[in-house]
Amino acid sequence: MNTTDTLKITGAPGTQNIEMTREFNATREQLLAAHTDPDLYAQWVGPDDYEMTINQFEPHHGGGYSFTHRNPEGNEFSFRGVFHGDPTVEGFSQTFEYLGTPGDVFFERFWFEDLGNGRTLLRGVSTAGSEEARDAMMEAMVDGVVDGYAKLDALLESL
Amino acid sequence: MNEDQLDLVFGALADRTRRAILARLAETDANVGDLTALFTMSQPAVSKHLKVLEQAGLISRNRQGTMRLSHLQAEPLKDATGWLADYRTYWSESYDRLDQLFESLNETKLNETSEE
Repeated sequence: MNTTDTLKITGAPGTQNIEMTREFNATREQLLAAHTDPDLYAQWVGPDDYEMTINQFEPHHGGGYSFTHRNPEGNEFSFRGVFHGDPTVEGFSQTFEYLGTPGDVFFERFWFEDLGNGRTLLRGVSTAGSEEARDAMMEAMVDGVVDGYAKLDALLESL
Repeated sequence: MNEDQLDLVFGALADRTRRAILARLAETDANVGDLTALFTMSQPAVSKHLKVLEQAGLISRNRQGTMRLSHLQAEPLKDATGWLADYRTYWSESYDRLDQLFESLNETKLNETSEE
């Protein structure tokens, strides 16, 4: 089975939205399971080489979730939110907050669209409280990491 | 740590004298006089560097009697190097793994079907 990275992410200027689409060789039922079964969820969410720990996972209307990523350097990043409405094969809604930026809560809606032949389109719209919060979430942090390491190396050399 | 704080940390680290001050403070706390003795610059110039480091959260300054001691705060350094992957990498890598998960689930299902 071919994997095709058809991930599209856009943040239209003047909006507070991050929109994304991604196709999968899977049914809507499988997409639903991947997003609502904690054992499955823990296997795929997060960057490669990060440890994923689910602290809470209640995928029903009003249920909370929280999880923590731990990178190889030992830094931890925690996220939490609440499910709004019961998830179905049509999709689900939730709030999403990175605990490193308290109060910057995103409202996220995901749709599972049947494409036929066992393929499904995942469509997500994540709405931030402000355009600034949206941009901060989308901004590439990779340069910051590389920069940080270069400067830390220089500092450690001088120690 | 937000972008503004990161800017302050990276800005503070961009200067050789300030890195040398941090290196000295990694050994022990020091007052402005101790630090001025290390460099060929005036006390006000050293004080200026200390202010930048303090604003970046890289040092704290406590008064002990008549002396004001500077103390290294290593936490922002750790934070500055510990950013989460960018949004696209995060989801791209996540969904690639979800592809693999679906693939293994589908294989399991096929095997179960063929065994029946």
